[in-house]
Amino acid sequence: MLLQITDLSVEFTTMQDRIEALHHVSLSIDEGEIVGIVGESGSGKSVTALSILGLLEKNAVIKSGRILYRGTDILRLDKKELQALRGKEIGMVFQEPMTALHPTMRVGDQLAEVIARHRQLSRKEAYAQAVKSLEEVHIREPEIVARKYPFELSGGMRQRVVISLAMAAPPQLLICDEPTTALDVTIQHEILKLMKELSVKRGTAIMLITHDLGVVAELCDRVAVMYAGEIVETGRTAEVLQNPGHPYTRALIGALPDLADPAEPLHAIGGELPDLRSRPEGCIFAARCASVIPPCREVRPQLQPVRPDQGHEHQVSCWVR
Amino acid sequence: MKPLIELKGVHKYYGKGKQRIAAVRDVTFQIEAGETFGLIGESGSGKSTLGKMLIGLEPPSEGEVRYAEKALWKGQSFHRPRPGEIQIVFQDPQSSLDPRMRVKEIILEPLRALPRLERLEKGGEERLHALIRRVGLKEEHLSRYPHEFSGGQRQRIAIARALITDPAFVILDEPTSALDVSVQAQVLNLLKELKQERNLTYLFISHNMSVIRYMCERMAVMCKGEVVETGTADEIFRTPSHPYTQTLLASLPSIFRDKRVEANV
Repeated sequence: MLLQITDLSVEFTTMQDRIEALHHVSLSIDEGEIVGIVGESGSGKSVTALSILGLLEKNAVIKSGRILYRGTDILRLDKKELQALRGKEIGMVFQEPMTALHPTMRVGDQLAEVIARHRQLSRKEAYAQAVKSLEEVHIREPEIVARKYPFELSGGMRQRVVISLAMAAPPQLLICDEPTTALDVTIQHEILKLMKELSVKRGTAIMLITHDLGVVAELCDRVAVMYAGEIVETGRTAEVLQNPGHPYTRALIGALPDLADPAEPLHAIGGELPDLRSRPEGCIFAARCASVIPPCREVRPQLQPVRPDQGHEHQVSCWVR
Repeated sequence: MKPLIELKGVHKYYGKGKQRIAAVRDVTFQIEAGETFGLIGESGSGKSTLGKMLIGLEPPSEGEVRYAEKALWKGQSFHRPRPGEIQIVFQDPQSSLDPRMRVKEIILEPLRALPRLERLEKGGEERLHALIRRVGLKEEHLSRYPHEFSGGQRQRIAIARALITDPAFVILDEPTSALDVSVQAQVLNLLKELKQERNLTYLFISHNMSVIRYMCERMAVMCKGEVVETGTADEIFRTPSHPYTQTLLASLPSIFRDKRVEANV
């Protein structure tokens, strides 16, 4: 097991309120595995990523849980140890590639700086490596691109540069937070292909955070569906998408326009996210759920295997069976 | 029947001399009254520029833009039909609603372009309340400010603002791109219903293929300022003929991939 999150709860304090953004989240990632975390805004998917990286805002408090990276609890590391882990062991790619790059530094120099740091090379060797790593993310004419500034590149090219920066060490785990959301679909397709290729070639595990079930279907081996700070369903991607067990997962799929059958009205999810200042006692989705039964509003369901006779991988937290 | 919107050989250039860029090149298409016409393309394809020409924000450099058989542009000046006849809903309700205005003022503001009598008639309390309920909000929301609402609710406010003048034609420029999918579904369904009830004609601009598929009867595919393909949405999704449309469709990550392949056969 490369990464194991157990029972993680995170709370944010504001002037007036305390908001529990993550509520008893457990999730694991194996070496070389690609795991998707999918959810809408406010579901806690980015908070999960930031917790792993130790990048939570100052007003965030970890209330419970452990994050084991190869057996070491990340939450107990000091600043220096965390710094050593970030970049070297765990790389990251964020949504907006422009903000991840130094605006007044040539692309090749930025890359060389990171490579020199992680691999103890001379500047010249590092620069040669930088050009090579641009080639690995399928940038044509890497020598020329290495001499450019970020603003001279298109969004897709920039994200390729960011990916090659993140892969410089190379890390064992790459955390990608909406890596293709700012890109056009044709470019998105290429970037997803590139991520898969790098993961297979280097054995890098990827944690992909996205709001887009299509992206999950394209790339991920496993998926965790988050709602209001909780994981409500998890399993093999194909299994979850074809036989969704949680009403929220079903609703998310139903809300997507179907290319094959456009006449069908879309299934919108009524209502709004619950107020996270005080979580309801029962199921977190009960207020918006179409198939509520008596225990839903009183007792919180736990993640349970959907079909225990067929293994424990596909789990869902729902009373309705 | 004459089309409601007619674009003929429309060009739009920005910059001068060596710096001149053609944002829109020789675009020709028509929108019939009562249909939803989709305009799809990636960033920089020129689709929003066309929307701006129809609402009066950007004059075309060349070509004709007609609304109900009348030219909308004479040189640099915009000749709008009846005020409030053409309305627009923008992508980002965060920036398209004035943060210092109350919802009621926001919704009623377009009426200021109307003659007094019509303004009083359309701005009546009863009509306003019916409209705010119709877009899925409540009367008490009228006295609040935009920041008190979620993204989906803000887009409902923007829709109410577009409809207060009783328009015939509404431009929807990426109206759901900033929304979560479950909220997007609510807003798309609402837009479809409103079109039926009010006999509206829509120009639906989007980069999202499945949203266009769901909303539109006919569509045009734009690439680098040019329209590369027009036709019914059915045709284009079943048998895309231009290589660019084929690439677009093939790039689409979809959990319905298998279903789509079946639909193509």
